[in-house]
Amino acid sequence: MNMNKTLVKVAVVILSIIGLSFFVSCEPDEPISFDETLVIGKWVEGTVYERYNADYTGYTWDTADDVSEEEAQDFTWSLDEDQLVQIHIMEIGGNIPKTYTVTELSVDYFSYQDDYGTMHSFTKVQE
Amino acid sequence: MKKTLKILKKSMIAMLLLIIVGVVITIWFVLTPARLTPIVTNQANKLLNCEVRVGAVDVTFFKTFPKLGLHVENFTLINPVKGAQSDTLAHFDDFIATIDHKEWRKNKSVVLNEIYLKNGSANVYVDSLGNANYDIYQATDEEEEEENTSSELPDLIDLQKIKIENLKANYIDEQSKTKAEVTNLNFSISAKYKKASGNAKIKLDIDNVQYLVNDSSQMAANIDDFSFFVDGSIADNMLEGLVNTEIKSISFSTNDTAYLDSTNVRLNAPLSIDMDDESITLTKTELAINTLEFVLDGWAKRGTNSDIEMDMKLITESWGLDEIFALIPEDYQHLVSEVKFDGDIQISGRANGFYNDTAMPIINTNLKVSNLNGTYADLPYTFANTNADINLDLNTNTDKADVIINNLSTILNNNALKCSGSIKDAMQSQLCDLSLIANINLQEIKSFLPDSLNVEMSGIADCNFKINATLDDLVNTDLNKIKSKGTFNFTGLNAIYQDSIYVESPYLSLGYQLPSPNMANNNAFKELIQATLVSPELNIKIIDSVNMIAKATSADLTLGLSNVMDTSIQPSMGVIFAFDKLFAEMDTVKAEIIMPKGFANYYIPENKENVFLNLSYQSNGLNAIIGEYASINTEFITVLANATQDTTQENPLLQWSPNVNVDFNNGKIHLADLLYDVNIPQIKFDFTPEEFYIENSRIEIGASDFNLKGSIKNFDNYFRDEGLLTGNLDFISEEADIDQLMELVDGLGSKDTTTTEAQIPDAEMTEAAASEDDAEPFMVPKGIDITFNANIEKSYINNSQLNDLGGTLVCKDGTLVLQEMGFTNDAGRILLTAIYRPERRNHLYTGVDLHFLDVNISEMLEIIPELDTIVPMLKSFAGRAECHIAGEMYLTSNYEIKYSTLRGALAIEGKDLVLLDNETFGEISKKLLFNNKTENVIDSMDMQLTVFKKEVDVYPFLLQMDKYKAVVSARYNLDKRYNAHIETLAPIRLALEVKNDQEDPAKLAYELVGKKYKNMYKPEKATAIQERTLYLKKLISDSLKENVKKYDSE
Repeated sequence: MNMNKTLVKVAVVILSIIGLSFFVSCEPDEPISFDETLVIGKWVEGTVYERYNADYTGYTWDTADDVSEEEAQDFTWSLDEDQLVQIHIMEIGGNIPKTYTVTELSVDYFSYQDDYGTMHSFTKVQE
Repeated sequence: MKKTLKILKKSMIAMLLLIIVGVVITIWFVLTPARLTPIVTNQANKLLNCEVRVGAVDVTFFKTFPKLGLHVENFTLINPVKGAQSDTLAHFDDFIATIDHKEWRKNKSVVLNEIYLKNGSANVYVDSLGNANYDIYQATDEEEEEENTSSELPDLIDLQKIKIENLKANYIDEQSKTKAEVTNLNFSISAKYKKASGNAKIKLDIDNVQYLVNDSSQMAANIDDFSFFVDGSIADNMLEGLVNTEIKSISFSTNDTAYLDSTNVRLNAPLSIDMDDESITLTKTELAINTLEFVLDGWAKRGTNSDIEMDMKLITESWGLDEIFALIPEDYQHLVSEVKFDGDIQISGRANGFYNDTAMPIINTNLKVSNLNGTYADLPYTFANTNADINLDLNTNTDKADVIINNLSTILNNNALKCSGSIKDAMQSQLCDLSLIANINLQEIKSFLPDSLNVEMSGIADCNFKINATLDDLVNTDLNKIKSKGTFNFTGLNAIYQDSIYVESPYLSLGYQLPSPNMANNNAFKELIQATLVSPELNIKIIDSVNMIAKATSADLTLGLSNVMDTSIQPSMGVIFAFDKLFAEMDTVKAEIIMPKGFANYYIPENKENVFLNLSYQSNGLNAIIGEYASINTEFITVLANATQDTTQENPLLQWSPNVNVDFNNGKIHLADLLYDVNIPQIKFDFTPEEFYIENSRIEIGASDFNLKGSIKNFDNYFRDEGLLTGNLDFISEEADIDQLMELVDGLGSKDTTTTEAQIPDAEMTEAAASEDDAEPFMVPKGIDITFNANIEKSYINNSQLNDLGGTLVCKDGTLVLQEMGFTNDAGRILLTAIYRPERRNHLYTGVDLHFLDVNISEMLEIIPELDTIVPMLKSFAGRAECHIAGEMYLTSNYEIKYSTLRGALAIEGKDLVLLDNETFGEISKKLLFNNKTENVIDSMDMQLTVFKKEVDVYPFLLQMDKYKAVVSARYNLDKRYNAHIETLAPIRLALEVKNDQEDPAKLAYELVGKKYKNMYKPEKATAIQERTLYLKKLISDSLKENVKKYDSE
């Protein structure tokens, strides 16, 4: 009886491994390239603002926290195909990288999401 | 012999009788009335221009024995004048004249040398045209008249006696409307003058004289019992004699106003007159009016140019004031009716010098008042025991008068006053040199003060002051020319001013001196006035808009002042003070100072324009309470300070540029806002506008103690907005409880001065900030660059002990930086940099850079428990690791995190860590087919973690445990949403996702998922994303470790 149970477990594990191996072996879709010049500008999502400069610097602020643009925090950014990397620079020293996958980018719309599925959608702020 | 004498005696008697018989026969038979009467009548009618009636004329011998006399009976002069009271001008019952019988015998001339008139009457009348009924002499030739009226004295005058007895006369002058009546006039005169020498006696007695002038102004006089006596002699033109006269009673009135009423007047004047020298000498001439007696003593003589030179003294007896007042006419008594005084006065004086049209003699007088008591209705107090001794020296020729007050004393009610001194040159400069001593009952002084002062006082004041100044200087308050000093000693003082200021003292001595005795010693300014205050106990209470109580024990104050009346210069002052105890209370503020003493000066130095202040203060103790808000207690304090005012500056510090030296011992400060009392066993510092130098200090706050040394510089430029306030202070401590200190500074410096116009928040921001309006965070001052070099032997934070904490705390231009602080504790070596920079009240930047080198993970979590919130998995590890943490955020005014600004990174590297067995690990190991051992040792770990807003990302890190290799990555939110990916690389390859339940965060869900890190640690096979991930991990680690290099390099 115990033997049978053990065999069943082994079978389940093998099948699982096979299944997982099959699953893992699936390659991701080809990345989409976005035009990074479209990123440049001031974007807003609710009360959160992000500004991307052409020199790959930027800053972000949230007016809900009583922060003005003049008080925004700096980051550098890069867009490689659909991979957006923000490296937030701490004044005291140290960098905080944030990586996102751009899902949509147009003149007035910008969305990206992180590896954990958190989506951000911005609209362009006309200046 | 006897017989011979008897014969001689009998012969002489016989001869005398024979002579008498011869005379009698001559009188009876030769000089009969029938013969004489016509002769006399004819002679009289020849001489007089009126009818003369003579009753009988005979010669008397016995009546005038031994002289022969002519006796006229009923001698009457009749001269009728219209309007006269009678046709009879004069009438005498008897007229007897003694005859010089030698002249009679030799020359048959009748020479009279004694005249007696008895029982006479006279009616003298002058009509309205001036015609008098006594104008009865026959007119003579002018030449004869001139001869007869020669002013030369004859060679011989022998007027042995003229005597009038019982003469009654009345006089009417219609021209001057004058009437007079004399009753019982008795007069006698005897005089002899021969060859420039002689003597005379005159005596006049009148029972009554009535005198009346009924002109436009009426005048009446009544004299009773008038006597006049002169006894004098002349020799060699020197007349000497005695004049004695008395009017027993004289009354005098004009227009129904009585000036004298039954007044007794007496004169007793021994005098001598030198006719050659034209001088008169009075020797103790006594004059008296009623009982008011005075004596004249001296001389006067005519000098050249009609001068009169004199040296005359006058001295009165002691006169009773009632007697003087009694002399005041009744019509004027009302003027003194309210003056109720009794007492005595005495006046003495001397007039010495020349008198003429342009000169007056020098007059020296003295007034003495004795035992004067009384009241005056307009003065609400009584004078008692008033005594005075006052001299007046008057020289009208030079307009100089000196008043010398030898003594002037009185008691006003119960207030004794005594004055002495002088007023020199009283007619011009009036130089007063006066001394006043007073013993004043303060309860009664109110009557001397105007009601508007509204002062109630009680107690006794002993006053003693002197003044030396001219009246002009006093009126002009020219303090440079006034010399004065005084003391006012109050006993049992109790005063209320305007119902709001109360002063109370059992003894208070106030004094002043002008010029100040310290003038020569005061090198600071011209000290013109010195004032002093000494009191064993002085209480002052002010009940007004501000209620204040001040109490001083053993107060000793000396105040020096410049000429405060000179408005052209800034007043200067200096004070020296000492108290045993000083207590003050104002509303809820109470302060008690033990033995404060020192001095302070406020003046403009010579050749300078700005005010200079200096202060020396010392006290043995200070206990102050500010309501329930604060209390301050100290022991010994010394303060030395000086300051120069620059009025062109607005900032108070720049205006005064103070230099201060403070030595302060055993102070204890309690503030309600401070959780812990501040004890200051010692602090000693110097402050100048250039530098605040703390020479030494020891301060204890709660469980912390520290010694602060060093200096803060550049105040001058800082307040001119020309530079930063710089400083470098050593903060040396044996023990410091950092948690307590942080609590202390919470909310300090909360005034928000950093918001600029450009930072005016928009509507959203205003809403976000609205709830923070009341919070008062600590605002680091701007314009300041101060470095604290900390050296703390033992410090405590979050219940962890830190040893040998060293580093710097920099407060720079609005930013507080805890820079490169290093310390050790049980967790290991720790390096810390922290920044606090309040950009505005609701936007406070806080950054921390922390490095734990070879740290015990559990100890690290104790030091920073917040780490468990950010990296909860840390508590699953045990052992030593190297951990680098950096984080920053902005806080609201009440220190809540603005999560949108939260940034953080952590890198931890460890070896031989123990993965602690717990339910989660058990579940994971079960899913990933780990062998669950008692102790799961992780060979190595290299983990990077970032915090962005509320997202915590654990970058994939490799765990090697026994034969197992696994990669772990995770994301969790600070709101407790977990998402972890655990992927084994050996011996089997599995990937497990662990999530928590949205509904029940504590409940975890486990799910095998696809592998993500298959070739991550195989560089030749790693994907671009995996390479980028490794790059970012390195980027995180390197950027964190970069700060450590700075520590090491320094």
